[in-house]
Amino acid sequence: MDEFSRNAQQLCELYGITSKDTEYIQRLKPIAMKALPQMVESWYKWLRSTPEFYEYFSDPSTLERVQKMQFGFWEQFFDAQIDGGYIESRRKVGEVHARIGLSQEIYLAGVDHFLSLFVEMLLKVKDWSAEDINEARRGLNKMVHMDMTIIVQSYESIVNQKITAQSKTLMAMSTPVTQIWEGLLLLPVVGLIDSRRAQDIMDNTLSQISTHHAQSFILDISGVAVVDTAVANHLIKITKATKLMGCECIISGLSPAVAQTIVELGIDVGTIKTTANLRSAIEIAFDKLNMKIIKQ
Amino acid sequence: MENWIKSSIPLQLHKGCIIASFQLDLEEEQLKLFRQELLNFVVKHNKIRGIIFDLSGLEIIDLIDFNRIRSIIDMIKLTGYQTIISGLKPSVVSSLILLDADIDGLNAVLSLDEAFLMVDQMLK
Repeated sequence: MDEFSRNAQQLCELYGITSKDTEYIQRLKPIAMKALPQMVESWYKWLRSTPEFYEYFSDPSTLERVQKMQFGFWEQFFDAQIDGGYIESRRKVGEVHARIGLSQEIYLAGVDHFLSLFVEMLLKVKDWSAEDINEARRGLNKMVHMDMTIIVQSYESIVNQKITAQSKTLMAMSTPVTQIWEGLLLLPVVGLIDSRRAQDIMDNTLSQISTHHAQSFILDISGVAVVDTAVANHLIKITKATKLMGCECIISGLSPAVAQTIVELGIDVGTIKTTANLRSAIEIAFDKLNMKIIKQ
Repeated sequence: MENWIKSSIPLQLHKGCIIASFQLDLEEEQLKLFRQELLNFVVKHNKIRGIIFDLSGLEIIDLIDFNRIRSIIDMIKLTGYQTIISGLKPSVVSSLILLDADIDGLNAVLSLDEAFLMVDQMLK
């Protein structure tokens, strides 16, 4: 995970967390631990007012488990030992949030709610001077914000990973160049062709031609919804590119509408070989390969 | 005329075809020398079946290099011969198309074997 460029020390520097801050937090620990059960309860009371509560905690055993984890989380927080292990545990929390699909919105609101509970707790501390309380409050703020950063970062990185993986699969699925005979490749294009996709189609096609030593390549566009000037130009570019690889490209599946558009758009049709259906394209290709389909 | 500095692009005769293999990345000076050598070679031998440019050694061809190669092909055309380009890499083709290179009227194949087949077809 390269996104986490900062280690524990750098994060502390970034948030200006000094040893004084952590000492304050540590001094708060006994007080906080005593107040924590009540705080968690009050926090869940707040959470109950959100729809997320019913989505994630309808099962009582889950609720109990998560509450236990929350105790652990805050205990570690008040230990204020900011090191690699601490950062890692925060990262895990972010990952879990991303995996279960908890929204950032509710998480951030939740943290804010907890912070206000802490401040309430601080104000009830009797034997501290006003200055001490102020310092402790500042320290709490810094620590909580640092935690938030780590959790949000790890959340984002998981979400980004998911998106990258999805778009990769989509790309691979969207250009399924297949060899249907020795020296003959077929690519049925479905949907919309934009310049990015046209580039993908071309790159994939060229490498397939190179690996299979194909002499013919059929591009079936019967599933392409719209053919405008841009799309037609992309198609012609693909045709030209295959020619440089010593491979003849046949565009099949031209609908009446597409044929009309292409000519009306003034695109030079002299250089491209097109057919109305896949069948005639295959016949042309086989002819080029010096082969024939015969009925037994 | 015989003691020109030689370009590092070797010319070979095989089955009556001139094969020029481009191995290193192209430089202008080198291409000029090669142009002279090749045209001289073509004009001197009067029983050539075809000319094949083997570009499989090139990882990168920019538009300028491509146009220089194209102009050499056009010059050869003036001497009455067709040139076949062989072994272009997919990435090279992709970038040429992206650069909007004019590739109309070029004969291209993937391997030398196919190039010889194409020469045979052209002579039919």
